[in-house]
Amino acid sequence: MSQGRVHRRSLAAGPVAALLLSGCGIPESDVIEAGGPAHVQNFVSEAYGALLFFRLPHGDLAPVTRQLTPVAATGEFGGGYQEGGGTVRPPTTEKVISALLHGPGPADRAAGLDTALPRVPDGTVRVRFSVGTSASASGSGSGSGGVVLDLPLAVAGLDATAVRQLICTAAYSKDRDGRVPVRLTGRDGATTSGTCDVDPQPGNAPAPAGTDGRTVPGDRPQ
Amino acid sequence: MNLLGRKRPGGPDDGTENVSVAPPAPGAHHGSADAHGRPHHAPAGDTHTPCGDTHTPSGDGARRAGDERPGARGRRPVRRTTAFGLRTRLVLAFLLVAAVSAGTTSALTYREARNALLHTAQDTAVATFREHVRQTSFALPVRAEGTEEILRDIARKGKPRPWVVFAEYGTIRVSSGTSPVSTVITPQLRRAAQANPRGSFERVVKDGVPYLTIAMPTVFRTGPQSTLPTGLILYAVMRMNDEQTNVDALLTAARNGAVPGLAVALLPGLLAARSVLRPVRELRRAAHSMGSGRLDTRIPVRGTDELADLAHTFNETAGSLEHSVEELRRAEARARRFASDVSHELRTPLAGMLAVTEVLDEDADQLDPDTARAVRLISAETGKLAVLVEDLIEISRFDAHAAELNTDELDAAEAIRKTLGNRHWTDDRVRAELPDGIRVRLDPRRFDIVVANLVGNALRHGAAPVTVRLSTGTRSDGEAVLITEVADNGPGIRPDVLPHIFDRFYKADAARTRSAGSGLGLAITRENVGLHAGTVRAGNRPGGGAVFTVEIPLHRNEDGA
Repeated sequence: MSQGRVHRRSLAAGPVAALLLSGCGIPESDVIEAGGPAHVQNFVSEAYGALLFFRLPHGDLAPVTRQLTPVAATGEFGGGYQEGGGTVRPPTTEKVISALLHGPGPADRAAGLDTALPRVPDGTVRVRFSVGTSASASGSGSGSGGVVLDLPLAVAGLDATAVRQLICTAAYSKDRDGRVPVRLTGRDGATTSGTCDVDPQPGNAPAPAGTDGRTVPGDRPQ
Repeated sequence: MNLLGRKRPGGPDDGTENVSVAPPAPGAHHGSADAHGRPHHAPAGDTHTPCGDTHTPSGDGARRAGDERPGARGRRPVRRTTAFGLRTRLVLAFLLVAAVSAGTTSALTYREARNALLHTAQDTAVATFREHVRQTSFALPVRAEGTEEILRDIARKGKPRPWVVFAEYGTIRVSSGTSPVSTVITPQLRRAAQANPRGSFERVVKDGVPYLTIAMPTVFRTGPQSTLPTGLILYAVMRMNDEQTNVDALLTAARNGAVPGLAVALLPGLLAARSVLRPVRELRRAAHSMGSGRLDTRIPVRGTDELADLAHTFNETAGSLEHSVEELRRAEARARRFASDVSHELRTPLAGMLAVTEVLDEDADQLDPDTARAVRLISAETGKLAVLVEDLIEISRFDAHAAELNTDELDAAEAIRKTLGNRHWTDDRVRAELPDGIRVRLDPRRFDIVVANLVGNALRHGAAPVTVRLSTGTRSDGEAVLITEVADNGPGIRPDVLPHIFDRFYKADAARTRSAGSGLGLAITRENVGLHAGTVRAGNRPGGGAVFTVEIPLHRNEDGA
């Protein structure tokens, strides 16, 4: 009888004790998502900044701003931003792609940025617009038009990161929202096309998976 | 009947309990009970016996009898239960319920409160961190130099308290603290921040210190609709000291709430136990009191619960019991008085008859032989009748508790020798082993009757020689006693007769309706021995022959006399 009572009591006290013991103090937690990212200010201006996409050590693309206007050709953003004051026009896509093909600058390399593209210091890049004749100055209205790049390199040998670098750099040079479809044509005649997929907001950008699908390998000439 | 019987052990002369003949004997049972119970009720009053029962250690006589009394036997289980009694169980049950409810409540409350506290702290920290990061601007690519200033600025504005801010961009690692790389931030958090540009946090406990680590990837607006991740991820690491303190305080509060709760629960537990135990205790006391003869015991009925019902039933039962016992007592008293009256009424005519038969006896020789035989028969039978009436009167005195003990200090051997001499048992039919010098305090007349009855009985039913042996010994309760043994060389007593041998008019042989004795001799012997607080036993010797053993205390207590 008393044995049974003791047993019952321990049965009842067990969960209570477990509850008390397990919940003491501040426990560890998993990684919990809490809201969106932080929007920071950036000294990129559509008037005189260009966005080049380089590769971060862990593989993702990171945009860097590059000053390509005549006023501040050094690439240092400070002076050019202050003195430029909107008197200069934004750099053309040809210039931007050329800069990309030149590879990361000293500041980029200092931050560990890298490129997947072969270094092509002196090739010429030609840019055509596939549809419509949207003004090159206005990025906002050119969403419907595509950009076609004739590149001084073999497109077939490029890996996915290199292709993304080219597409994104070209897209953002044409359109501040980066929505322009881009077609790359290499010296080897291979073409690939796609849109930039680095925009984190799902509503604004095509599905990231779609980009890979649209990136046609160069061995399928068109 | 039982109640009457139970009364007997309460008296100081309960030594008679040891009489081997006591147990069944339906006919003699109540008679002997009365004979032993009453004498002590009469002088000491009715309260004497119950007192002896309820206060066991106080009375010497009661203590002596303590082990044998039904009251004591009934009490033992009660003592045993107090170790884990009703009170303990009730209080434990209350405490258990209180502990479970208080424990569960405080545990749940504690968890909820802690989670709420942590949520608030985390949400505040994450929101604040995001807000502060938003007010900063970075050039792309991020440069190591200058970034530290920005991080320090954010760190200073940390809420709810300063935090350490780490920045990771490419291969650049900068922090507002001393070490550029945090040891607290887990790879999981890093991976989550790199894979998905959304704010996230993780609580980490390192070396017993809880930290909140927040990862905040940064994005920038490139156009009216588009944002791009900069690749820069800012981390904030905040010690949750205050939260720890608060959580500890919560825990302490929960404990402090639960423990007094238990103490408070003890009170209703004790009250409930008391409310149950008090009637139970009263009931026990009343039952005990009734068992020891106070049939007028009643319990006060309080309330209308089951215990009150029980008390009510108890009172009703006690009432009817008292009534029937009273009836029985009256009937018994009537019967006894009748026997006594008859005996006394017979004595007067018998005295006359005895005188006449004595004269007739003397003249019998001059009568013709037939008439002489008839006269001698009448004379003998009248003598027997006179003895029977005397014995009946003696027994009636015992039944009426009118028997008195007139004790005197004397030499036991001397007394027995006198008894044997008076009866002319001085020839070799009776052997006496009587060591001199045993002083004993007893009633010489009654002791004479005891010895004479036993020796006469032995001579009549057993066979000579009869041995009377005197010795002293110690009873099992430590009392020094005078032991008188009367043994004969007869066939002994049959075992089925043994229990009834002291009963009145008990005939060992049913066919033999007439015997030389009155049939009351042994009964009177037992009453007399009982009056001395002694015991008498009948048994058989191993070698054959019956032996009667009388044990009488050498020095009786005056209060029992």
